[in-house]
Amino acid sequence: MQELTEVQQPGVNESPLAVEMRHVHKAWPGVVANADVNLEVRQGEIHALVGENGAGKTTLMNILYGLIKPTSGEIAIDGRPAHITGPRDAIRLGIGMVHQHFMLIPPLTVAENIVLGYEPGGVFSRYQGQEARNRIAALIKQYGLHVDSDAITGQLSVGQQQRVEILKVLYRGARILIMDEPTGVLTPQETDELFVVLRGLVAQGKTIIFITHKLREVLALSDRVTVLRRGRVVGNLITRETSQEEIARLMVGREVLLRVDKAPAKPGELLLRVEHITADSERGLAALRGVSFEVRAGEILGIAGVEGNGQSELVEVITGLRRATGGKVQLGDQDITNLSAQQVRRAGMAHIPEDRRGSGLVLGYSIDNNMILGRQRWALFSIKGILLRLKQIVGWAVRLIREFDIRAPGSSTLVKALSGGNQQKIIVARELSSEPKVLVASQPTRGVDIGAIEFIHRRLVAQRDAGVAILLVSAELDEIRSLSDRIAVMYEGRIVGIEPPEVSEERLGLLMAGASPQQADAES
Amino acid sequence: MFLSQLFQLFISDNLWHPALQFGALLLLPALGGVISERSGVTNIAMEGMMLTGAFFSAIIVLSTQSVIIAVLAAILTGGIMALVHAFFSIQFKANQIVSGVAINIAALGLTGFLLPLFTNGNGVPALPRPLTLPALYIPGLSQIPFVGSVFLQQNVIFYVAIIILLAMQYLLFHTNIGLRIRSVGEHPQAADTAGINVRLVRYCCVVTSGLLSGLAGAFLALGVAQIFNPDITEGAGFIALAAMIFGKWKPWGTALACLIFGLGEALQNRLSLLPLTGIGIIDTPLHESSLVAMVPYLLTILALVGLVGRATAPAADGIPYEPGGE
Amino acid sequence: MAVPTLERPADHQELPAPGFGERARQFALRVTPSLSAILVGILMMTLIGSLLIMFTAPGALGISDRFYITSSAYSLLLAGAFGGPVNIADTLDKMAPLVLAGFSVAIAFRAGLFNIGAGGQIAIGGTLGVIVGIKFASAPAWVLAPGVLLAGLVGGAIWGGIVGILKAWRGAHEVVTTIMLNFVAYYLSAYLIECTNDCLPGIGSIRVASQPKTMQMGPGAALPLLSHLINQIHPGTFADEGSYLANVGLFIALAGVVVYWFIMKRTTLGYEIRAVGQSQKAARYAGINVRRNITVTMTIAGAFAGVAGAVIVMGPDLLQAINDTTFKTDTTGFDAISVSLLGLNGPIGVLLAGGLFAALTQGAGLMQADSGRLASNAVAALPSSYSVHVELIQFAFQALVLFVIAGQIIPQFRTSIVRLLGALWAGVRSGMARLPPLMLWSLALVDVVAAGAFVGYVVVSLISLQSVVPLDAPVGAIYSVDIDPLFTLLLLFYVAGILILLLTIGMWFIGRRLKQGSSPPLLVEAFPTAETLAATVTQTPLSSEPEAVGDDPSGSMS
Repeated sequence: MQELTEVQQPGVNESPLAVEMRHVHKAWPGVVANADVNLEVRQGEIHALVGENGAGKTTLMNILYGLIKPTSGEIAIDGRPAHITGPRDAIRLGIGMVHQHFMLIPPLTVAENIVLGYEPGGVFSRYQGQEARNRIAALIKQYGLHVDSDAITGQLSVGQQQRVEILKVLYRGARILIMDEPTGVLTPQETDELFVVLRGLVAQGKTIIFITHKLREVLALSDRVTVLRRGRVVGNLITRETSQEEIARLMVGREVLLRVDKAPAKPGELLLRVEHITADSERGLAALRGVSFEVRAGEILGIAGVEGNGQSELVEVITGLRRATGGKVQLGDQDITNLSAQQVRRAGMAHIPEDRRGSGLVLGYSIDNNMILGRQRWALFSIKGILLRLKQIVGWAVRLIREFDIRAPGSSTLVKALSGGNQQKIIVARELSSEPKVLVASQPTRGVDIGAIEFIHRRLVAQRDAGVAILLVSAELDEIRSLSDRIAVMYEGRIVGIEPPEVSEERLGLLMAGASPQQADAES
Repeated sequence: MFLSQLFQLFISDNLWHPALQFGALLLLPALGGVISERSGVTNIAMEGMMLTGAFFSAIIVLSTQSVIIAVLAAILTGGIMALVHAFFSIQFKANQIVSGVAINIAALGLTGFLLPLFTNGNGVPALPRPLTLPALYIPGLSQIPFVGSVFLQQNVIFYVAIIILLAMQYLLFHTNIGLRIRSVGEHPQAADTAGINVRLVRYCCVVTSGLLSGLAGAFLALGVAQIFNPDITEGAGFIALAAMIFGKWKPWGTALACLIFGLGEALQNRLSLLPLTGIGIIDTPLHESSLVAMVPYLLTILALVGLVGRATAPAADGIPYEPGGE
Repeated sequence: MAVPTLERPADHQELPAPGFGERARQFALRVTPSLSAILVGILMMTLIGSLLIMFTAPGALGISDRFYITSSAYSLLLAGAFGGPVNIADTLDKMAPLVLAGFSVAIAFRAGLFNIGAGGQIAIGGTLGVIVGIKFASAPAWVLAPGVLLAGLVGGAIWGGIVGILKAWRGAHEVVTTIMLNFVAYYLSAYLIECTNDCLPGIGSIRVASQPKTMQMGPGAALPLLSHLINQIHPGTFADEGSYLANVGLFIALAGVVVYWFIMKRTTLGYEIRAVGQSQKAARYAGINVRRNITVTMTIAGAFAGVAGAVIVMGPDLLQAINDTTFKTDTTGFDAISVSLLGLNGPIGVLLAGGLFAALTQGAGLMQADSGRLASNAVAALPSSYSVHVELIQFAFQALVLFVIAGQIIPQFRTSIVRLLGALWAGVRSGMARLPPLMLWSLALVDVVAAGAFVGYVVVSLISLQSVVPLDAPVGAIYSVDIDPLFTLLLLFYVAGILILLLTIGMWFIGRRLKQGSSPPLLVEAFPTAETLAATVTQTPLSSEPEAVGDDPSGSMS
């Protein structure tokens, strides 16, 4: 299953090579991240680097940018061999990287962030604000990326912050731009805008390598594609001659079906009702501006939307982790508004949190102890809520390990030693086995390998069929569309539309970007 | 009787002169704390660095008869201890608070062990005039009642501290170096990818905090108290920490806090019969002087507790940096 | 991304099945970090301490003279700690409050808090205990003693609780508040003691007229000496029972061990405390009220320290009276920090570490008293006023313990070995990231052998001290010491120590070479206990991997 598919017609795009990576190998003891990788990127092209989580894409680019040293292999930039020992070398060679998680310093201004490390006047001079502003203004004019130099970076929108990141890279004279998963936090429309910017850069002679696992974008934007799987190059394609299916097949190594098998939903009684919820975010701004919806037994309601539009706060309010400043949450016939997390759980709610390692698990605890997290005072696990029933706890954990096929040497293994998929399975096992009435699942398969994803999806559907009301929040549109019986779209703290699962991506994208349903009707 | 004496005290320069002096004493390590934590390294070892600075300055001034060498030695020892703290915090990514506690205890033990050895068991005598840090008397201006005697008759180190205050404010907020320091303290990974040497910046800042604390120790032993005994710091290093927090990690705010805490120390000093330094002004019976001794510490707690909103340290303060990217 | 369907879930990280090997391995992993910690601490202390003595001995002395001074100092250290039943009794006496105070610090650490205020909590607890002991002096022992202990517990609990409330509700950093409260406590205690009749409403004065010292507590408040108790059962066992200071406080300390173990292991409170210490986010998710938890933890911590304070004032050293500087000069509170860290915050660990530290402090006392006299017998050039002060032990031991633990030098060293061996193993059997149990057992074996060697060293030293004294012999008998065999042993100790140090440094370098970025989770799993401590103490996410693409936990591969 590991044949190298090389589809290259001679004569197409004969520009010289901007980037050449030959026989790059990166291994840590026992783990191989990149195995004999060859990469060729021509000047002036947009080259997509594709693969699943764990395929080695970011590692490869970190090697190119000097953040990691390869175990072996050579790099050539513009035809000349290059020895890159750190970001400063890469920058000097004209390579710039826009990271997936922005490398911006929130309390500093945009100008300060852009010039950091390459300040006008050099290290030992005073800060020359005007000079910085001038230089940035010149860049803005040249590339058409508009930002306010004096704005505080932490207060900008995500799209604007990304522009600052790109300006940062251009300020340092980059000719080769590496973009790591740039569209994860953008709406489809913002993504299109980004593409326009990128094409503009290419028109001015830049070369772009972008890392993604979104096939649609590969087809829309790139000239050529390199596919990685498990650290090896398994495909080198010309974009206009390939298809999503072919790339997907190379990425995964087998035939890939695009949907989860499930029977149609049979909604029953109303189990979760949310009415006019308002709440504030961490910073005190309004995060929820009146959210209302209902979820019935035996159905999955998916919440779609770009991250940062209130989904996290909504989940926190429902599960008792955040105060609602107005409105009502009802579980069955019980009012659970602003009850504590403990009380909400006892009322029959389960919660798979979006922050697996931060909230969902105590990494230093064993599997046993994590299986009772949140329920440690329940009668099943403790005597009068004070003394732990150690035997019962272990027995419970062992049962769930078997039932959910969690791969671990024993129930006393520390959870931090397990893979992400297994960790998530523990959380899923814990929440599903508590026989909830309502299940809130937030980003349930983020960062999880395929096998576990499929397992978790099957389990969620099984719960639905058993009569649980499920609220699914996910940033992956495909997950939402394949699992949900109804899809609600959130934008700026409100539900802007509730759609059937067959809704088109376009329409979803429009709603996610803030169009009203009428506008979306008009557009599609 | 007591109240009117107290009121008299408050409007006299007899209170405010030592208030400013103690304030300057606190300001030096507090500024050290500011620069260290701005670069992301928690430093609670100022107390220990002050203590060793005080100790070595006293010992060396006695053996070399030179104040300047003694002060330099104190600064140097402060820097060395800070280097140890930096080494453990940065290279070994040790827990910075435990490392700081270790330095404080090491300082206590080291000075306690070496003191009898170097003085043949007798302790350090009261230092004669020529071996102390002098006060500066600015001609003419210092004769102005109250203002002159409070502001312009201070010890030479007081003026040094003011200069350092101005320099640090400028450095942190108006220079490129300051920009880099702040970026390292807020988001070291971003600074790293911007090509800044995070380790070097942190080392420099921590060592600077040590130099300042060492200088404060010399000031304490040779200027304020003019003697050395093992209890000489009495928590001043921690009060300086609190001043830094109260001042929200900004030089001017810290200076204001140091002034307030300095006032507390001065009050305690002038009210008690068991002075840290100086002479008691108001006669207080033994047990009440114990009460009075609590003042600076209670004041510090009140300040920390009464802060409006929580003070936020630089975002990466206290978190060891793990380079190597993803 | 498209959602594929597959025949069966695949997981490329396959771990072996559980069984006896696994359970044995878990046991080895739990025990060996504690042993390593103690060993390395002792090693460093001996090396650095002896180097300090060697270099600071006054006068123009040659190397062998300096070595002699050092070895005589250390022999006194050992003799003072274990040299005879009197010394052992003294060690046990010192051990009790240290262990209790150690738990005070340990339980706070478990919750992610630094209780540097044990000293102040001891002071308040002890002072309150003394007040009760004086005011109810005529009460019988079975009422008064528990009463004083209870007063100590309450006093310490309140003092600790204040810190907890300030931290939980105002976010006041507990390092600064505890230290400030320490000073307030010392002065408050001094105030209460110095007060003459009219300044304490309702209580009156507790002081003696001419000095700032309290009256004696009632006889019922004195903790009975163990020697006395044993003499009741077997009359005549101890000739001079008053000189053996081990007392009932030791039982109280042992009770503390049980209480601590019970709370942490068996109660939901302990579960929640540890959860808060490891991850406040997860604790909140789990419905734990973090604020309440912090307050309760600090209150319990204060209670432990308060009982320690009561034990101190009820013990034989102070003759049931304190003066206004008693608590200011008492170092138990600070020592407790090292004890707790060295004991890795565990119940047995703290007990052993407390015992070790008490032994060292006790031995250091004799070292200070007699090192000059002993050494100057043989080394003429040494002034007889010379003495090695106890602060050396405080400095050498404590600072080094703290640095070693904080720097996680031991876990890093061991992780380096594991990586090195793993790399070699992986080379032999490519693709495997795991270290077979055999190698882990070897490491454990090395630890056990080293521990045994050290114990052997101590035993041989004691035997060669010729100080095995009959139980009813008078106190002065331990001074007939034969130094030479110790000399040789100390030399061997140095050589071994330097070798181990070099090995450590070498391993560390090799480990850094191999590291180059975050490591896969399995290798780091090798020493969970130390890592767990690291998480508790460092309050950073256990895994050093940053949140990479899509929170991929393998971090390195993306």
